[in-house]
Amino acid sequence: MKVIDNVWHLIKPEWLEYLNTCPALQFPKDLDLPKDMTANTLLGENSWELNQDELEWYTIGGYDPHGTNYEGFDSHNCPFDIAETINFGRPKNAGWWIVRQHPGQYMPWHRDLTCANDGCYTYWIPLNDWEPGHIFVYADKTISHYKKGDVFQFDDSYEWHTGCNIGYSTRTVLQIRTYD
Amino acid sequence: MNFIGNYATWIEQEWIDEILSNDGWTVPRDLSKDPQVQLNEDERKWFSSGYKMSDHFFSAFYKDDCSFEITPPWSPQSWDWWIVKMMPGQFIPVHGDLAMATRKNAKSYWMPWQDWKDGHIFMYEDQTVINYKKGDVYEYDASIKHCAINIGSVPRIVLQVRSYE
Repeated sequence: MKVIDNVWHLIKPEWLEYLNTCPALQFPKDLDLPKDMTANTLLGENSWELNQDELEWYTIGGYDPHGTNYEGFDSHNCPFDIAETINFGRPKNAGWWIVRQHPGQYMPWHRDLTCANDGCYTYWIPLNDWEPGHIFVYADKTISHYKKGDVFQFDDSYEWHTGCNIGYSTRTVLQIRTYD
Repeated sequence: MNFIGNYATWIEQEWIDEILSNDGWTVPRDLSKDPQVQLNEDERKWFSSGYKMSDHFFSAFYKDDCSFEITPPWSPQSWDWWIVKMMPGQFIPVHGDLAMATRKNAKSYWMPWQDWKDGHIFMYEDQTVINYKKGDVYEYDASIKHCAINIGSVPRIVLQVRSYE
């Protein structure tokens, strides 16, 4: 996990305005997960499928499948496409999503299992300066004192990681994933 | 965080079993039951930041909540203690123990009752404490900002000790 760039100059004020003020998808609440969390299930019209780590959040960890642990944006619920502007040289093969966490929200410990193929690159870009209580842990490393717009490239898109907000203000992070 | 030593053999399994099978105090919800409790500046800031007093951040066990007595083997001084149980998804927001700054020669100790597990996070200043072993004892400056969260899959149990002259 290393800082390779800072792209704050590419972040448009109207994106931030939207992200700071508009409703987002509530996870996992809006996934409409079944009460029976003992089997991996295709879910609703969005065909969400839980990966093994996510399934264990509910079956082993006891997390509430109908609560809100974090909020999310992507091209489906935003009037803009960030990958048109920030794509690390792969405009045709870039996807993005944004995680917004209000104080007390978190994402349980997990891997991004769907991207474990070769030629996948994951970039983690905070949209706020670091403050105490804003936690990002990648493998056994804690990422602190970052600046908004810093670009951290995952060494391995498949690595265990988590992001949490037990601080005093909202934490918003952009993630971009590209493929060869 | 200053490593003091490992006292794993001092921890009785029945203590762990008792904590796991009981509720203790629901913090912060149950704080309203105790008129003596006064929130410090950091704690008041939690509730102006969106945390709710009715929430269940974690469970706390004090002397009166336990059938066993704690006598920390590493400290010859007077002490207070409590045990924190965090189920997956529970946490304590960032704070400093501000009262510590006014106590004469006060010392704070942190002792996990399990080996470190993925998703068990104690953040002190700007780093998380990892790869610890059950019974490790760390002395730390509790007035420095710290916080903890369990985003793993098993409960997290930690003994906190404050010693005073």
